[in-house]
Amino acid sequence: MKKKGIILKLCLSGFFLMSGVVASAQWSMGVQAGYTHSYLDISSGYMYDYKYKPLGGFTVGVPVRYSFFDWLDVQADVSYVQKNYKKQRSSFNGLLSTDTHNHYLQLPLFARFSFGGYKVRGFLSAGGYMGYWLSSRVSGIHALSGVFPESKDNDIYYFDEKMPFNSGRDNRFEAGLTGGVGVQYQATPKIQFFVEGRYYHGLTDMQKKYQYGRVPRYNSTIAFQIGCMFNLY
Amino acid sequence: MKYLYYCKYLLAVVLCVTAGSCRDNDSDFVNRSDSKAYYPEDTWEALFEHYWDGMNKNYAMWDLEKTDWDEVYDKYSPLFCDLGVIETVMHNGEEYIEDNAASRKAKEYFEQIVTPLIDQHYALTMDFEGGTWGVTPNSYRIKQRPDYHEAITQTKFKELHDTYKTGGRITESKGYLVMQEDGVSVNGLWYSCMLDGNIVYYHLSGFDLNDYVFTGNEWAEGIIPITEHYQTLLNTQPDIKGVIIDVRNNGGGYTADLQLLFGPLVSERMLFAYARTKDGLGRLDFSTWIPYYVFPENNIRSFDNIPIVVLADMYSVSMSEVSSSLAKFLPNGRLIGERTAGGTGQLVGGSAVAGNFSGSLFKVYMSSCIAKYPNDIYEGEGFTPDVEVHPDFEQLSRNIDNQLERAIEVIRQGV
Repeated sequence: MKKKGIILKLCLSGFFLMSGVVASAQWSMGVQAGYTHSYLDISSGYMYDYKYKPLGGFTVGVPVRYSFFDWLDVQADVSYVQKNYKKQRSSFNGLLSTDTHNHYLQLPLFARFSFGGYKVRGFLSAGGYMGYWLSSRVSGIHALSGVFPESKDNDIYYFDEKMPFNSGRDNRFEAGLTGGVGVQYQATPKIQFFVEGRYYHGLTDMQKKYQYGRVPRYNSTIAFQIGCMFNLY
Repeated sequence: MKYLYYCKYLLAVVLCVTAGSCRDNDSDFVNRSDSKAYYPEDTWEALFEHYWDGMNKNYAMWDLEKTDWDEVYDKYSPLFCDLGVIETVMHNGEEYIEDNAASRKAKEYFEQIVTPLIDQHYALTMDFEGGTWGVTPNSYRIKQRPDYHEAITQTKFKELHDTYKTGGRITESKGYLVMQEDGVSVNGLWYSCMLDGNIVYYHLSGFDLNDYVFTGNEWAEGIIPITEHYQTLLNTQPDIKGVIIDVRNNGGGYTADLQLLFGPLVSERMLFAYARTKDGLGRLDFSTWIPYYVFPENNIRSFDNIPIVVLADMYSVSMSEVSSSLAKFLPNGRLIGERTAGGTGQLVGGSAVAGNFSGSLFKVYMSSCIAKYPNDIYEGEGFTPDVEVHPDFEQLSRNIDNQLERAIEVIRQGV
């Protein structure tokens, strides 16, 4: 009987809590865009002269937010995110490099905690995301001794081309964690502006498990973005 | 509700801390290909692991390969483990593998692993007591051909040259010989000449012509003038009816030599191939395809309407096959002889990260690039001749070169 009493009390508490939530709930929707700074988390192993460096890109998205309380929201975005990186050779081959531009469609879902006054509030967010690798492009400089692409005594080759996916190797699904921090400004009761720094931490290898001794590679992306939200009702 | 207020910060911290630990670590990644000091090959298992890992990272043709390299590991790792410790002997300060039951079994396993590989430059060698032991897919594949025959030796080519010259069919000849240690057999033979008065002919037993220029090694002085003579004949002989570049039993060499041979023969830049190397540690991490051209050079006359023949056989490999490809794809080119060896990849140094590697007791020699000519890959297959002619050893014994005679016939027919 005691156990049943506890369950009943929990259910009633939940009901009243949800009633309060629904009473203060609010949908909002907006747009956001900004700059991305990505790098590839990978070991270059014995390829000593390979250095992986961050590259910039951009992101644009449509956030949808559901507010439970003035301090707690749940938000989802549909975002296009560039996750670019540079592979730079060093030493004797220092001229050679490849810039990889990866294009992702991404759906983050996260809780958003805010604090402060009515007009200006800070916020923190934490959650997860899923993404799909749409396409990839590579550009840079390569060379093979004895192969002359430009003239009879010059083996330097400049390239800029779409990178075809390799179905045996490339894992085009990505999932990971996301967290962010920012400041929002309530311009009118209906319109809110925000600036935000957000981090995407990929947890899925960009490759399928296609070989023993695979060296994993993960995307890590920081996005600095601005946006505005419109209260719907 | 106040506890919720603090819980959110706690949640954020926990997420940040745990995030870093959710990625696969790569602690199983070791560099056996480069650190034999840390991975001594004291057992057959260790040697196999080293070999397997080097192949895993350095082999340039995994996307063409039918061998499942993971299956090779699963199958052979326990077998090599059963062979136990590698017994070695020392001679003059060098370590050699002892010839015993375990090492003979190891050879058998390596033959099973290596012979199906598609890379026709590939060679695995080990220093055994009593001599170097090696296995190559190419020699295995050639012997499987229904038309298999022994190679025509450079000694025989020298005899043919002398006979044709005595008979007055070869004139303006300039050649260079490298004899073997026995002082009788010919190791290397290069000569350029006029054949039947109006065909420019160049026989090469190997390439690296550019290398001789740059390094000035002991053969340079002899070989460089032969190429210069070939170019002079092209530029000065009147009424040339055809050009024959003979790469039979030619093991290849430096690809830049293509420019020396074909630069005078093309009137405009010609795309004939693309080359690609490994550009990462994954089996399927490749560089972009780099276009490969031959450019007009020293061409004071046009050869557009003159037949250009490359004479090749099943022992023509590597740079000989690059030359063969031009005969296939030039509008006025003809490839005559036999299907080539199929080692159409390349070994390039410099920026390539694939290719040769070694351990303390073994060496692997292999391509660092795959090439396509210009849309198709011929590795393991070779180029099929436009006109197929096998050597007739009965005629050869009488110093009649039936393949060369067929090439002359084709030239007489015109483009």
